[in-house]
Amino acid sequence: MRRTLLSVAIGLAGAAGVTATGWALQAAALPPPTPAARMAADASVWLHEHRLVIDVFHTGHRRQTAACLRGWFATPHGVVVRGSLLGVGGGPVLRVAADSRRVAVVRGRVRRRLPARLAVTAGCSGELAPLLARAAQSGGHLRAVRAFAAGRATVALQLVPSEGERLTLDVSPRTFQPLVATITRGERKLVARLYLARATGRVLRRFGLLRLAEARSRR
Amino acid sequence: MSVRSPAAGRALTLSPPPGWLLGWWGLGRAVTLATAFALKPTVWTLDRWDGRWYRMVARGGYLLVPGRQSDPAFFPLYPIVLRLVHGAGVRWGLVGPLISNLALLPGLALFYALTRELFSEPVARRATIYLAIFPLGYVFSMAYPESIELVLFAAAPLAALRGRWWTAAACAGAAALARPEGLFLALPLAGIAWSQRRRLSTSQRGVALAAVLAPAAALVSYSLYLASVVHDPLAWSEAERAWGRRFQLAGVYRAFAHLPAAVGHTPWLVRDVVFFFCYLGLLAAARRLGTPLPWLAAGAAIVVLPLFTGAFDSIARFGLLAPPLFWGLAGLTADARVHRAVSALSLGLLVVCTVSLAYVFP
Repeated sequence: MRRTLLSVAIGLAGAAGVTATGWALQAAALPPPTPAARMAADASVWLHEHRLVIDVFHTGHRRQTAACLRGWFATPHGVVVRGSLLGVGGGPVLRVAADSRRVAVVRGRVRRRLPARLAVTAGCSGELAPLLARAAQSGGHLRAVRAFAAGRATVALQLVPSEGERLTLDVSPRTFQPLVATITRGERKLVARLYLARATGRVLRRFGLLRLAEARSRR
Repeated sequence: MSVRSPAAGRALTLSPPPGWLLGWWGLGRAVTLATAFALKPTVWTLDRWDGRWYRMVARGGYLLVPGRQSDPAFFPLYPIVLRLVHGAGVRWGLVGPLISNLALLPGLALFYALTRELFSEPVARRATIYLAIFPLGYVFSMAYPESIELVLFAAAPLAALRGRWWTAAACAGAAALARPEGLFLALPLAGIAWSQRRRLSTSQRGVALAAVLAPAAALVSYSLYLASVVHDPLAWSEAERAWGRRFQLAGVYRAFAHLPAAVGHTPWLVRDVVFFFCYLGLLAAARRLGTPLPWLAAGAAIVVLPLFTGAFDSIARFGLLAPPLFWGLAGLTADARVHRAVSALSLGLLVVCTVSLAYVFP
């Protein structure tokens, strides 16, 4: 009996040794994620958890309110695709598929003053969340600096979504909730104040998204 | 075919690999590399799919992004080795394929030694040849941990059979840090420990128990590490979910029920389904050959358990780490003509499967 207990004790001690050695090996050999990557990942989760973002866009001296809804939507050809719908208050509705960079105008006309591609990238959770997640995971071209935006101290996450584009996402320094997205491409610059919201019928109707969102759910 | 008595007490020293083994390793790698380079003359072909994720871990460590595919799904030993070799001056794109191709050689040598301990020399030779040129064997040239896992998967039970239980414990623990399949090493190790129980001293029994527990202990170390860096000890399981892998009792039913739709969506899935049923047949052949029951259980777990996630994806690749499959195949090809036919067919399929790499993950 005593011998058996001794064997078990040696076995358990050996297993504990394997655990300790394994942990030490990983801790010594692998780098921990950078604070910028952690913040980008947390900001990405905020966006992932909110299908609807209400945006206030600033281009030049112009201010426009819009709402962007992430989900599955029917195209004019009857195909249902994953993507985002951006409804600019009382104006056009834009659609972008999740795996495409082409922005389609679903309704109305886009004024030249609103850079559609930049608006969709900066104002839609369906576009911003994967951008942040990719930047966090790859670690390249991601920086975090102290900043001031939306009337408060923030952390600005700076990343390069594609060649020639620069995106700065100001997040809350405590919760990492995205607050302001600033995107530039060449001479063009767009600032979007982001309000993560719940997709209610009233909000969707206000931005002309209700019928388009319902079209999917009826299918 | 009878199972030979364990050669307890011998050191885990390996003689240089025999010429035939070097030749088959070289042939298998030459076919794979030539086909991959014919597809695209860069290491891109061998460094893609999961290789990208392993490299990401090696470069920047782990980061969990809930709800999205993230890297804790990829176990840490291979990224650690990538990082070490990269530190010696090898560039990132090259380091994975280099390690995998080179590690396969000791992997085959250890597999040969293990099989010879359990069966006979002819069976060991044939099984090793099939492993070297197996159709899915192109994975052994990719930036995937399968080659390293093979080394550890063969070394742990071989060390145990030779009475080197501390070495067995270290290898089994490392195997579980390289791939989840390493967990199933506990079964053959427990079988070997049980068969040696009367010969072992009290302290040796304790070390043997440690070796049996080592894979689970290593998995705990991974969870503890994830808890310290991403604040979620089960981050690897959470990350697997984003790939659609989630263990459920009804998973097997779902895998079959959704098969027609899944094949319609990804026709390449037929490959995994065909290999799955071949593997079941090879497990039966391994049983006929006299494969010890714990080994059969480990092989069956490696092949069948992934079905509980509700999908057949990658089962063909998982089978590479189930030694009983290759023992079963070797048991079916005692006739020299059958052996030659199987070898030729395997080489041909190795070319075809390597070409598929440009279109589908292994």
